[in-house]
Amino acid sequence: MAAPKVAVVGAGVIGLSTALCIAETFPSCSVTVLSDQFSPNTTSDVAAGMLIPHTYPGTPIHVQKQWFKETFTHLFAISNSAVASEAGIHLVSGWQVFKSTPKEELPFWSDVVLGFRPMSEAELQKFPKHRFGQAFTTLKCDCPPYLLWLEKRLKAIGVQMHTRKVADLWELHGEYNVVVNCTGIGAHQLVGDEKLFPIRGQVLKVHAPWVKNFIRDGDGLTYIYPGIHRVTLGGTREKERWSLSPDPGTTKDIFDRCCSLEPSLREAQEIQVKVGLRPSRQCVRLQREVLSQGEVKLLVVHNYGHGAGGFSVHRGTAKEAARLVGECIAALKNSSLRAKL
Amino acid sequence: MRVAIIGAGVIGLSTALCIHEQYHSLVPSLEMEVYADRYTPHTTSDGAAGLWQPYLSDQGNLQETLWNKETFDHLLGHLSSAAASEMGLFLLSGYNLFTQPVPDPSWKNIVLGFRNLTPKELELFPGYSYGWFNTALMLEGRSYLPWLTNRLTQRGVKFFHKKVESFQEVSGDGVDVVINCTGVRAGQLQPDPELQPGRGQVIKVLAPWVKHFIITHDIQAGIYNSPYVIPGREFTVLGGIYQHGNWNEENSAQDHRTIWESCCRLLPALQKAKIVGEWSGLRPARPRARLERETLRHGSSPAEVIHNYGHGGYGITIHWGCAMAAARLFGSILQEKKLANLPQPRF
Repeated sequence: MAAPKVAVVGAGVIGLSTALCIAETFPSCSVTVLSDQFSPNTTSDVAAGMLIPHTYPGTPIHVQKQWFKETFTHLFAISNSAVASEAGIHLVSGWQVFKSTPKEELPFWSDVVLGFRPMSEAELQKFPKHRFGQAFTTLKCDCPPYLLWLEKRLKAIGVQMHTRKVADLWELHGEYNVVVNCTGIGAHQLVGDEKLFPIRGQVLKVHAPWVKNFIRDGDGLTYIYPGIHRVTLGGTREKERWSLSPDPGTTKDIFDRCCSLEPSLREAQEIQVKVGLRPSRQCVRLQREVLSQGEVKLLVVHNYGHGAGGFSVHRGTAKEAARLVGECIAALKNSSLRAKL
Repeated sequence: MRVAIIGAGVIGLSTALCIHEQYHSLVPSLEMEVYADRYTPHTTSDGAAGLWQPYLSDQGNLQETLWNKETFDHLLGHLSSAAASEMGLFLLSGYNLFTQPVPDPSWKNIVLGFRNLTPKELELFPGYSYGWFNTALMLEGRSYLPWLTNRLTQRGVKFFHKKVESFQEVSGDGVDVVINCTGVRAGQLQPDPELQPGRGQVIKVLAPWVKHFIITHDIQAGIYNSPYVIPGREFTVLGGIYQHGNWNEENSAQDHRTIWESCCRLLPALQKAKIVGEWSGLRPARPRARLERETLRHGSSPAEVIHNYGHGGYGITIHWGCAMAAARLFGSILQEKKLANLPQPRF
């Protein structure tokens, strides 16, 4: 059998990291990334890229923790290397503050991030409206730099990238042996997944370079995440809302909420507004599927539905997707062997 | 009443403001003047990164620890104010690294969230086996000094660009109180063998991905003779030079190499950082800061002098506590003068 041809559909953080994992794990494969959007126009580019996991109700916690740990460890090594700034990966410390003590005082990821501990009384004085808090250090993947760096690494190992809108997975049948579906919110239309729904997020990206620490309200709605050049101010979590147009009333509301947490943000400049649709699902769809049309089969690996937690688990799910691609390739080899007998 | 402050670094300007704030309503005739040969952005305070952090050991000097705390608390109180940004004031977290365990510093309960580093965190810094994490404050001189200058100007304080050659020059001119905030060159006004330059050199780079300060320590080499990285608002300061007794304000190519190589070893990504400047300055080093009154008797009338200099590499760290202490000394001078001027009781 000739070198297996793998198509990865989608070029956000999931698509690119999955393509990289596949290409690195199976060097004999030819891997191509197909997407209608590339950075800076993906959902990933809107996100702050903070490694603070979101909890998927439908996935066992130990699996989510494993994904997060793999991702954190992988990025930790990059953040410490000479390519950190090019890759857009950097450490950031800060606080998660709660107006009332959370049910769960120790999130499942508290021993993966660095230096996790409850905030002291003195630290909480900076947040008069909040009664409890956690301090820790985590990593941030700045986009576009991180995605552009992944693209650069992909090109360096011969992975092709094409701008192409895939309207139906079957389009790819003749050209590719395995299709990896990393289309995020696009999977709603592409594979008709009714369980996938958008959670609309509007954010501001501002110039406020004196903000060096992150601040996040435990309710998940208000957050301040300092990136390399801009600080991401958020946000909203609007279930089932599909509009990608910024909402001016929301912009003012986000700005006011963030200034309430960090008053110096009143001096922020160059406010840009962005909207992204978190591809949300009870659990990440990370599984193989064999599509058939009569005798003809199409081997698919799905890796989408990461909702608010894409960056936090991307490397872990990419590795699992690569493993599933390996199973597909093995299955193809078996059936091609059997066909010869 | 005329008050002259000599020196316009962080010590001179903050002392001026502190005294003016406290006494101008009590002394309606208060006229304040600042004399300096160097103003922002050419003072020692402008070149410093601006991180609030005392030395590792207070050497039993509780007074200075209290002044450090007073400064930190004062600045923390300003953090939420509209002025913070203009002052160049913001929170900054970071790391202090050691090659062996050390006792906790005198300031561990002054800063926020002080703790030891975990083993995983130490993996970030090969060669260092022990360390601290805490959140402190940045007060960038290049913003703070102009802010102080604006506050003083609003209050009618006059500024003179002049190198004062002697106390008499000022006191003989009718000035009642002289505040000596001349930093490393105080010896030119009055010999002080305890005051020595602690020469430092820094490289300014663009490295906006660095969000923490990192200060390494080499107990043998002494304070600030080990690499440090301090991210400011616009650029990041790389340093690690402390040369006692060296008066040279020119940048040294060898020191540049020392700083660059050691900082890049500490943070490999710095190799990609763009260098935007280099600067050398002289820390006004002294076993402890000189903060005391002196009555100079020469010529016709005695002159009251308040000395406030010799803050080494912790001027920004201690400045407000010292300004308040200087203001108290000023108050005692006022008391004495008032006593002298009280009308005689009439029977």
